[in-house]
Amino acid sequence: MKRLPIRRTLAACAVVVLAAAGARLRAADELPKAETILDKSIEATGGKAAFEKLHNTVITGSMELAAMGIKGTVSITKAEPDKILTEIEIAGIGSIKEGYDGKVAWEINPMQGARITDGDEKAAAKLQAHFHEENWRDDYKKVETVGAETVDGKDCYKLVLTPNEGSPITQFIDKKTSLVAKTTMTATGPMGEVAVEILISDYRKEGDLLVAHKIQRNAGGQEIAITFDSFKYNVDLAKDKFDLPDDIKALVKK
Amino acid sequence: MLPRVAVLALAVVCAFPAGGADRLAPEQQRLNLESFEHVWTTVRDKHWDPKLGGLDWQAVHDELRPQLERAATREQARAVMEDMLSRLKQTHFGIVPAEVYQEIESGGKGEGRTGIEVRVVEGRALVVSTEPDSPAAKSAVTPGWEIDRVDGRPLAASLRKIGRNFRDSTLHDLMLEHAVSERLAGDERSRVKVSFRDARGRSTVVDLERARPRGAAVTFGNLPPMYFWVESRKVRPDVGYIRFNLFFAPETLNKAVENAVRDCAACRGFVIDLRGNRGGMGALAMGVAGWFLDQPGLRLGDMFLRSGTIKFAVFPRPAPFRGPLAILVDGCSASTSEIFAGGMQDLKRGRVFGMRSAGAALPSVFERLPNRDGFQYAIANYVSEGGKQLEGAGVIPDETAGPTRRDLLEGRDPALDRALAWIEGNKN
Repeated sequence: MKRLPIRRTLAACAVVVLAAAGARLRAADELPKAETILDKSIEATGGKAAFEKLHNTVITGSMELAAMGIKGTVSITKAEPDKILTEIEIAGIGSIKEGYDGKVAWEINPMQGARITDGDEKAAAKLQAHFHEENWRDDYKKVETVGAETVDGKDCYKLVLTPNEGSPITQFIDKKTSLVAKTTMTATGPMGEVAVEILISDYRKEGDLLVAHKIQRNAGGQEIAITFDSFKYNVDLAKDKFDLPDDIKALVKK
Repeated sequence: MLPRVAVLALAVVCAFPAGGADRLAPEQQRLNLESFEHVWTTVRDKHWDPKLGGLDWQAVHDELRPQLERAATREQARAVMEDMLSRLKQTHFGIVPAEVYQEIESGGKGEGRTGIEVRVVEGRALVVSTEPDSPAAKSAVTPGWEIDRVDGRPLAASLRKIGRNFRDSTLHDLMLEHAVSERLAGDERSRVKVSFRDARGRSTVVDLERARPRGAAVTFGNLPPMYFWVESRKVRPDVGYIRFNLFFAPETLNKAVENAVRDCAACRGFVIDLRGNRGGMGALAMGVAGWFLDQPGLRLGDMFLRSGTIKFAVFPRPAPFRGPLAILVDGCSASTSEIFAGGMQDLKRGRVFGMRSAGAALPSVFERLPNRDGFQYAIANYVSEGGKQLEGAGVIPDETAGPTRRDLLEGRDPALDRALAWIEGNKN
């Protein structure tokens, strides 16, 4: 679940925007409520009970930036209630790590070193870290169905999800399967704002859950394909798995 | 940001067309047309400026497509695509011949080096240094010697030709240097006879066996393998110095900078020598800058992509060096080097010494075309923190200083000397 800020900055466009909003409201009247769509989506991927059995997950796979011939591996470890560690190894670059330990969101990459993230970046990390995503109501202060669109030939509901912290996300959920097909957002950080589109596909059963095995992330003119090939649940994780790395601890002390 | 080394090598190769143009088979013609359309569409869809600076791109297509259809050879077809890209009047857009691209991509051929670092000064190819333990160093090749001929082929006419061609370009020094370095390069263990004029003007021929280039081979994506090295020392007991040939191998480079900075915590000043550094990964400019900036929220510049703007934000390291920082550049400093030097200059965190840089700062992507040629295109524009377009302008040093032949023969390094004098005079 990601973010997409909707900005209306041009006063000159106000009338057009209002007209569009009116049309959207009329359309929204005929659309299912976002709450219903999201609940159905949780059911479609395995249901609340299946999610509740889980306490941590380790997902691994590969990534490729085909246009540049860049390949790497990805590992995402999550644990309840809100811990995440993403580790990416890219040939020629090295090891990139991002994490959230329930308090501090951080990143270490071989290019720019260690940094603590805040603002929208931290909000995004926190959102991603929330382990029990079946409890999506804990994450969003507002969800609404704003329309319907086709994504890769699939008729989808278009939802705007406004998190408790950070910018909104637009999510496209397949009408037929109730599975998330696409997410768009604007990623905001000290390096600026970049429009991000994430295409989600190849849902297959892993344990009791139906999970996406393919993700295509389009941002800044670059297309990154991520393929997940291993999903492990309730793993015996090292106790210090989500501890802050020393470089981050040094920054926290500063 | 991608290094220009390969591209420039190819550009020089292309300047001397090979003989034996093959007439096109129908299949090759089809692939060329497909490639033409791919190049045209890519620029239309991916150029950072959707308006292409007002250029009527459709008109360019309509004008050149018939020429491509008439092309009788691969070289002619390639020339049409190069013509199309030249209309953009921007560097980092080019077509790389398939055979050359293939050779570079596969590596192993022509990687041998003599260890001579060369610059062309006033039309003369001068040895500016020899790499440690290189064939040239072992043969006592000396800075300041002039290279006359390589394997019997005189250099002067070629250098004049290239010099004329790039007379008004910031790429002038880079192209000349590359022309000489490429001639000196060849297969590892192959031999090359280099004719020099020594300090007294006497002609001397040195037979060198080319060796593996200095440094460690690094690979990144579709780029051909490159050799990366970094060296650091104290040029004076209280002045740190670091030099590296590329912004690559992030972990190695950052570790080297970290160690140099830590060893020099109490130093009076620090010198980063980017002369001859062709660039590399753009993000490393920010990474290296983080060792010399202690204030969060600063940036080196902005990169404009079609989809948004990336701010080159610098994240200060835990214990950065805070003393005077001198940055050395010359006409062979390109791309990420320029982003770093230009940004630090704009932030008034570094004083730049040397010669104007190559003015080749745009980040680019290499792709294979359907006809197997390589296609390089820029995906962004870059403007330094002070609002300077580095492309085609380069970084202008605060103090201009380049070596003469006499300087080199007498062991002087005017840019470094000026930098040290500035550090000495700096009261901190």
